[in-house]
Amino acid sequence: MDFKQLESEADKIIGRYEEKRAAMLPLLWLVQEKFGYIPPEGEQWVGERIGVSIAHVREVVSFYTLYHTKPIGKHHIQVCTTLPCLLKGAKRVLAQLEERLGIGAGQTTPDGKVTLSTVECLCACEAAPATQINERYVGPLTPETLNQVLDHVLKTPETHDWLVDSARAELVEARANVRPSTGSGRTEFQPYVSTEGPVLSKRFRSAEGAWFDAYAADGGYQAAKQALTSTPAQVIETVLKSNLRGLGGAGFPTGKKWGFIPKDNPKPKFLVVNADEGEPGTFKDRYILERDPHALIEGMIIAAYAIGSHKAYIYIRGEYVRPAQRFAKAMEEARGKGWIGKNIQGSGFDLEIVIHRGAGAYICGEETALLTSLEGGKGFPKLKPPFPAISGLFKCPTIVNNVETLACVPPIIRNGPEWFAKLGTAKQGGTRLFSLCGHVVRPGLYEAPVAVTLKDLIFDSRYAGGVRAGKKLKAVIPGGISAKILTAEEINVAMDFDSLMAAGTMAGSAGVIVMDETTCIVQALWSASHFFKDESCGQCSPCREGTGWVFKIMDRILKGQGRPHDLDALLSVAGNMEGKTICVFADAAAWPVQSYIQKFRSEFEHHIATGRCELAVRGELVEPRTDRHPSTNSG
Amino acid sequence: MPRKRELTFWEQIYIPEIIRGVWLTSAHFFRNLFLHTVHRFGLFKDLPAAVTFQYPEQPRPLEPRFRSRHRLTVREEGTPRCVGCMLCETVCPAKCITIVAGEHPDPNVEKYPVRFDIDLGVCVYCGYCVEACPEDAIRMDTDILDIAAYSRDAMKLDIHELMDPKLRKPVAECQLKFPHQCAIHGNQIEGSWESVYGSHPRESEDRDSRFRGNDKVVE
Amino acid sequence: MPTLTIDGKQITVDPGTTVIQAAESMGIFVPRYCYHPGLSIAGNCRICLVEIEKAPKLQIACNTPVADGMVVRTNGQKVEQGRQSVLEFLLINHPLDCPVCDQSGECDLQNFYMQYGLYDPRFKEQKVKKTKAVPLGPTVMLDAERCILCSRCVRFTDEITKTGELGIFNRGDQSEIGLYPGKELNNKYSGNVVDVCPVGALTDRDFRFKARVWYLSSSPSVCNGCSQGCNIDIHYVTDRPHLAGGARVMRVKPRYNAEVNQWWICDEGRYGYHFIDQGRLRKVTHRGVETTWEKALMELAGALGRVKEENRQGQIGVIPSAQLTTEELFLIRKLFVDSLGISQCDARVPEKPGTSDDFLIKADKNPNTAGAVSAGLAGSSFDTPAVRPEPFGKLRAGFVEGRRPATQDERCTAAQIIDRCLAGQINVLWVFGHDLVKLFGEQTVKKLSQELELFVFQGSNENGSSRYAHWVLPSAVYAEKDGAFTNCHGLAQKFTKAFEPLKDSRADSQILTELFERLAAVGPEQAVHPSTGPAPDLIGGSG
Repeated sequence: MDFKQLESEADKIIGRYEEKRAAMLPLLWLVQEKFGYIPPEGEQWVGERIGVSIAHVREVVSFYTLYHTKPIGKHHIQVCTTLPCLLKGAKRVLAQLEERLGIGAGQTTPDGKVTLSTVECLCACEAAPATQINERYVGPLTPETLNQVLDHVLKTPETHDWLVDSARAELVEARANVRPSTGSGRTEFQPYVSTEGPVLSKRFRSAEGAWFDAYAADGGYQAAKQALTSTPAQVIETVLKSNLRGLGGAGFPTGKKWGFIPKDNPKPKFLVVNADEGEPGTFKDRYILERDPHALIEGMIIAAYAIGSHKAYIYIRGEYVRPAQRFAKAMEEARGKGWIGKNIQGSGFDLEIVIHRGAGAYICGEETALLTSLEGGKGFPKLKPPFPAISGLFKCPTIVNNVETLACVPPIIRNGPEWFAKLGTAKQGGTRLFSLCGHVVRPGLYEAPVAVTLKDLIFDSRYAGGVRAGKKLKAVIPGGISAKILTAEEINVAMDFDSLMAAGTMAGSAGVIVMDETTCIVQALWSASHFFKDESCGQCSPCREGTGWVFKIMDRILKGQGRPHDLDALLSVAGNMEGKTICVFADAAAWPVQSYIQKFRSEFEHHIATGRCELAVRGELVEPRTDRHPSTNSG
Repeated sequence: MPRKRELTFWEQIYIPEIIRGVWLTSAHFFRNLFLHTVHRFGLFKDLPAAVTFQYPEQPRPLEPRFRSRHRLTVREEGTPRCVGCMLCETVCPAKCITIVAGEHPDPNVEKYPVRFDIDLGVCVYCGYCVEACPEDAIRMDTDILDIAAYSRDAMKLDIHELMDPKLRKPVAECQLKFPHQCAIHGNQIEGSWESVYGSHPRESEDRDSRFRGNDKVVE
Repeated sequence: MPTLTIDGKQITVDPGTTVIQAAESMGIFVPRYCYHPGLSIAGNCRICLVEIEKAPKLQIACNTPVADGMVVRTNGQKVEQGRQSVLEFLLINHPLDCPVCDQSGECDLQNFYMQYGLYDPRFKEQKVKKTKAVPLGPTVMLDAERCILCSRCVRFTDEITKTGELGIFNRGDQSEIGLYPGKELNNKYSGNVVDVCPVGALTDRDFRFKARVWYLSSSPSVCNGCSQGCNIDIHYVTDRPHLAGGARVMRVKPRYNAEVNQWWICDEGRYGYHFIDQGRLRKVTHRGVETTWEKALMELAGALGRVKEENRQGQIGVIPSAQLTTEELFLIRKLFVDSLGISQCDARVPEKPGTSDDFLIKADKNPNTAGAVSAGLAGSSFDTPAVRPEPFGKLRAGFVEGRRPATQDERCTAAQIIDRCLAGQINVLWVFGHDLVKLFGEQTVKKLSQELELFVFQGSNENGSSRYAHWVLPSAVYAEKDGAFTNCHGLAQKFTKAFEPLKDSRADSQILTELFERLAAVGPEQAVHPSTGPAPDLIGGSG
């Protein structure tokens, strides 16, 4: 096997990082892209190039789901089976695929053409049930479209941009009806996306709005120019006044976080952008990366300046291939116009940005796990103390910010912090991109003020337009799968961090998963616990063992073998996981268990007592029916 | 204080007293004499006479929890259930158990006794070994009471007699196939796993299926 | 210097100390799996959770630096409940292997369960299955199901040996410890991963199934494998001769010594104990015929006395060994050299230096070369094959002070003694322990056996010399005697005997003492009474 051709590219890659070891993931991608998988010689080569023993290379390869040590089929169909897709019929999609291809999940067809896998959340929930076919996201998969996709996949050598190709698809206003099919025999899915702003979604309208000229014409990079002429302290003050809070999920005041960077530390400072969006139910960062990457770049420049950093890394999840490509293109444009590199616009401020792709691990969305992964290891969260602002990436002061948070920064600087603060509540300013998915009429991405109520988001015609097919609402998860569930009676709550915390749940990443009366909550919890069991990094004992235990009990209950003490055991195990781990993954895994059982206990008790689903008994479907997209309108 | 009273005439003669004294014994004696005699002629067979158990033709019934001679329980393929954990050797108050452990080819079993001796002359029949055993590998339920021998050495049971309670010393032939240490082979280790499993279990493809749930005790 | 309160007691410690270290210095034991003082902090086992006032959640003691005024509780309801939950989590997928697991009896899962657990288990699902009984190399056996993923072994191979063989693959509860497929764990310190593993996941292949841990007695000693002098504990069984083929020593474990070997020993030392029970000389023999100590000592004393009377000291050659204790070497010096006047007495044999590295392994495979030098039996300079090593940690460099002057014939090495034997100038040869066949060739030794008037071999194990010597005096090994070794850095370390010498061997000091008592009875008055003991200038001693 010849690795010589990879040498020069490898040199370039290694040269981008302060420590050789950090080139681990990119070099593994390089090998996999060349050979289709990572052979032992590849692992050896990578280990030698970055000075790491081959056992540690194998550790990394085995930890992330996107790396393969054996060749796979030419077309890799990865079916998402996490809760939002499960609610819209992912199981049916999988069954249909298995039948047509004649193989089970995890297998390859004998002719080597297709490999079928199940994966956890792709964050394409607005197009549920979604799959990833090689590099493309494809969805929603109705029975008809699935057959068309398969025909296409099996007959042509290239996969097509199909359905959810949110960058190339033409964008429509949220309230408008979807365009009818173009008559080419293919249905084109148009997601519902806000396009009116006032903060973030203004350029989501047009695919061409993503690029530099359109962005600059719209007032882009003015804020950066303004920031570079003021002092970093002033920038931090401005952001503080705007009440901008971390929109990745934790809700920590952004200006305060930037202030934690020690001023007198001689080590280099790093800005790391967390584009490892993985929270089921959330897909907002993907839209920013694809439709408004320059907003993010501008936000990065301002943030880096504020904290005194001259090197920024953006960690994009491995599944987001096209978003990463579009962001890279935007970066090239910005560099060409003098906004990235040395002496930006003559201000004397240098900033280098490096794109670092993940390889399939939800836990890398946790900021210290992200740093460990960036440094070339498995996604293991770090022990705190020390905190990243003091000792983070390569043990240097580091600030990790979410994509959406940084995209808010240019408007704040341009329009003033008061404008931003007034849009929201006293403690949280601005708007948010709410990802609505599940059993709603119009799943999509909606920008709304942070204090919008959950009821409005679900029912208002400006937003998701109500529960689908005239069904009754049963339950809602307001902030991604880790958030505690709310019943249909509890949706009169504002969606800002503090209101939701007071209501006993959390705003998190603003991924709203809506469940109607056909949903079996026991199955929903099974799906949530399956997700946490799959994604636990395994570093510390309560989470590693606890998530597996919770799933095994749920599996047994769902199969009809539940026992009366199981509910108490589940609550006890979940309670034991909380507060004892290195990161809050275990807490996040515990909250669904505690809240679903607390609020829907009778459903669980029925499952355990009878061994069957309550909904099946009442004649309702256990599996959500196939959702026919209104655009097809085929009666 | 009651004064010692005078004996009556009949008491002084002694003979009636003697007869009174042995009345119960005599009653049984004559009854049994009669019954045993008529038993010889085949009459009154259903009336039992003396309570004596005519051992060894008629063994005395024992309680289920009676601790008799030990035996090692056996797996389906003829190897002992014992995993050589030495808990019985440790707990034995008389220190009469001698175990040497060896490697079992099935990784789910891992350990087995290459040598397992119990010196019956030292054993106090306390039953602690049965209680301590985590694998139900040793039991004292053979109901064998006749352990007497002509020498101390002959009372030292090794793994042959323990696995097969019907064997008595001296054991002429070594029937055990798995690698073990026994006096018949001059205290050398003899035997092979291939002869037990047909092929070396670790190299066989379906070893996992063979060793999953394969734990029925041979009574 | 922060002051904190732990369990109601105050202590002042250096800044940067962690809570677990501060507690340990007060004698308060906080349970731990992943924490090891010789390795970096991992903080993943979570069993060391303690309660810290003002912190809402329990904190791990191993990674929390002490702060002034901190109040810590290592007991109490909250901490106990926390520990029990963590123990429960660790045990749910742990296999029920205690009967077959070698770690039983020294297993931290067992110990902490008995001390802090004692709960009713509730896990009623199928446990995760992983590979069992996998040899990782010639020295270590892995059982992946038993592993609690504390990562101590991974950190050891990364930080101490820097070989990086071990890794934790996959994620979640499918995480599994292992090697890269096709690789082996065969660095020179591989046995240490068995010591650091708190459970029975990594076990010693050499010790496998030999004996149960609770049968073992322990005796502190010093390794005799090389001149580093690592501190060890000898684990032995004397009352169960059916185990390990009658051997007494079952295994050797390192003993912590901050200056010499910290927590580690090399594999050569760890597995180099078999000679204590195998291949031992058990009988006093004269030309292959068994005889008694009495007869041997009388005859040899007589022979030596005669030589002295006839003033033939120049015809005697003595080759002591740097494997002997310092006391024995001084005894040899006092008796052979000083009182009998033998000048050809030297321990410098033409041994090929062994392998060495920059950690613990030294090229000089004798534990007491420095002792021989200090007794004046190895030249006056440190010219043995051992390379002058860098001090390890805070070791003292330099040597034992007050060396005795070398023998008069300073340049007379053992090789020269043998030459003179072959040339007929020496016809009485007394060899301690060396295998002359290995050093000088079989033909030479055969010739010596035929031509020498008296050829005595005093050693513990069978070797080329014992096959050809006229007289074989079985002596005890280091584990069977009290004494001291001085290592290559000049540190003298005393050790005590673990058990009595094998019948019918005797400690060298006893043999020499009795020999010269008879000499004194037989021969001239110059014989010094042996009870004047060894040199008074041994410095210090450890353990």
